[in-house]
Amino acid sequence: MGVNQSWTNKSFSVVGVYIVHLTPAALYFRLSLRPKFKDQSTMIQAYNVNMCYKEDIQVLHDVSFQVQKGEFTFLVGESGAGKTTILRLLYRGLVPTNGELVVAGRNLSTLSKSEIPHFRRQIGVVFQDFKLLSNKTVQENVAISMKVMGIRRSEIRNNVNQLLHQMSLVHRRDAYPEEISGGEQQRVAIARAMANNPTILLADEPTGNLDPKLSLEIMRLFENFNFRGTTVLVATHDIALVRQLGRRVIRIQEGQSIEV
Amino acid sequence: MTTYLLEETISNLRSGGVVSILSLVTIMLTTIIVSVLVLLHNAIRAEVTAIKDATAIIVFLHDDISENEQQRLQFDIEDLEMVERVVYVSKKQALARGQQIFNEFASIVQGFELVNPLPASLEVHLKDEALEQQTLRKTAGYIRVMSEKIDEVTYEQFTSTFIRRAEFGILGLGGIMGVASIIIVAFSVVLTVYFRREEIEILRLVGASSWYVGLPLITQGGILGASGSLLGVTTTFVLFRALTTQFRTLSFIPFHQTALIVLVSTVFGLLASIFPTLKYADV
Repeated sequence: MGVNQSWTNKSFSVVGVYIVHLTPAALYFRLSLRPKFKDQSTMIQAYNVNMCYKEDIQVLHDVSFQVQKGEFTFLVGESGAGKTTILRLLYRGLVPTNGELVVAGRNLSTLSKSEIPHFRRQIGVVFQDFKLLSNKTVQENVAISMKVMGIRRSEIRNNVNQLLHQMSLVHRRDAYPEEISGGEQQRVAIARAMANNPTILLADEPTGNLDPKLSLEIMRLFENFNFRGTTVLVATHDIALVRQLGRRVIRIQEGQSIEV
Repeated sequence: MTTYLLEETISNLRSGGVVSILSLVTIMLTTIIVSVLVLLHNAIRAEVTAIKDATAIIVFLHDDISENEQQRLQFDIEDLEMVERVVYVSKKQALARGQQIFNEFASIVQGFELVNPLPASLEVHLKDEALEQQTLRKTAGYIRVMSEKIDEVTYEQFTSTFIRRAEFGILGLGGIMGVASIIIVAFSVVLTVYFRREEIEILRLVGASSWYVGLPLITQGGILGASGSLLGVTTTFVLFRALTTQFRTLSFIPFHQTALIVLVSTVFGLLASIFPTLKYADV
């Protein structure tokens, strides 16, 4: 009897494991919690992303959020909240300690080193410090992202002209970055980011050094790109500007994401 | 792509500044040294061939040696293991040779015909493997005591041992200079990567592939190697022409060796730039 009871208990526990973990219903339930990597309408998916620097400095705690295709979203938070880290994770400048990121349909944790350049060509990034090449002119700086793709010179020339015209930088085409103003440098950086018609535009504090009028002008440019189908994610701490534009906001607070 | 490669490589060389020039000068100096060593090597090699054809040991005989004794001595020497052949040179033949050698200054040996002071000799030709300093000395010493009618035994000092040591020295020096060149080219590329680190980072961020970033850096090494060696070979040639107007017997490095020097230098330049490119440019 004792043996039978023990057998019965064991079989119940096996059945229990089956019910809890392996039944189609449980699998469906579990899978529904996972991000839908193949979802074409979602451009950015962050799933329980953690980021630690030097083992003990945790910058991000279980950050999860989604950005839909064609959406214009702000990523707000205090300085040091982890906004720049999130953007760096999104263009694969960093690898998360754990968690998963799916950007433009690519799972970044399975992205090999040789695939990174091709992945980055789909993403335009506007850096906080502009990252312009000081020894190259405005038009050369804009052309660089097209040059790395091996686009023909004539095509590059046409695209650059168009972008410079759009950014009101035609008269500055032969100037070097140090010869132009901060606002113009910012526009050069945006032109470079948009040169390849990226599917996603990431901007890190793009108005950090600009006056309110110029800041609004830059945001209008982003809106213009967004209107044409580019998904835009702008990290900023300029709450007034965010309110003015009235777009979706994801707040990062103490390394955690809060949908606002 | 070719235009880009050329533009970026030139830009890299310009970024390198003094170090690029230093690399070029080092490779040029290395090539000059290697070229001089190759010239020396070629001259020595020519000597080796001459030695192999010439007599290694000469046994000078007393004037009063009888024909029988001379023949017996010749047979005894021919029986030695290392000896290939022995040639007898009479006093008359020796004088004729002297007259041939001093052709332009015949008056010097004119009086010798009456009282020939040149001794008869046995020219001992040795096998190739015996052309070593120690074997030569031993064999000469052994022959010296074979007969009392032997006046003197001389042997070739410029032997294969010397040749081997010279070749070893040439290889060693060439190797050291080659390693120095590789290090300086690698250093030049590391410095270029350092000077252009921001640019490389930006290129990576806008989606530049490893080839796009790395190829100009590797080409830079190749161009340094090729241009440095071409400058070196040209300088050596100019110096050679200026210094060898008196010694017309020497000839410059043949074309295939010159091409090999430039080729090896280019390959070394390429190889030297691969490691720093992989390590520091994160390619």
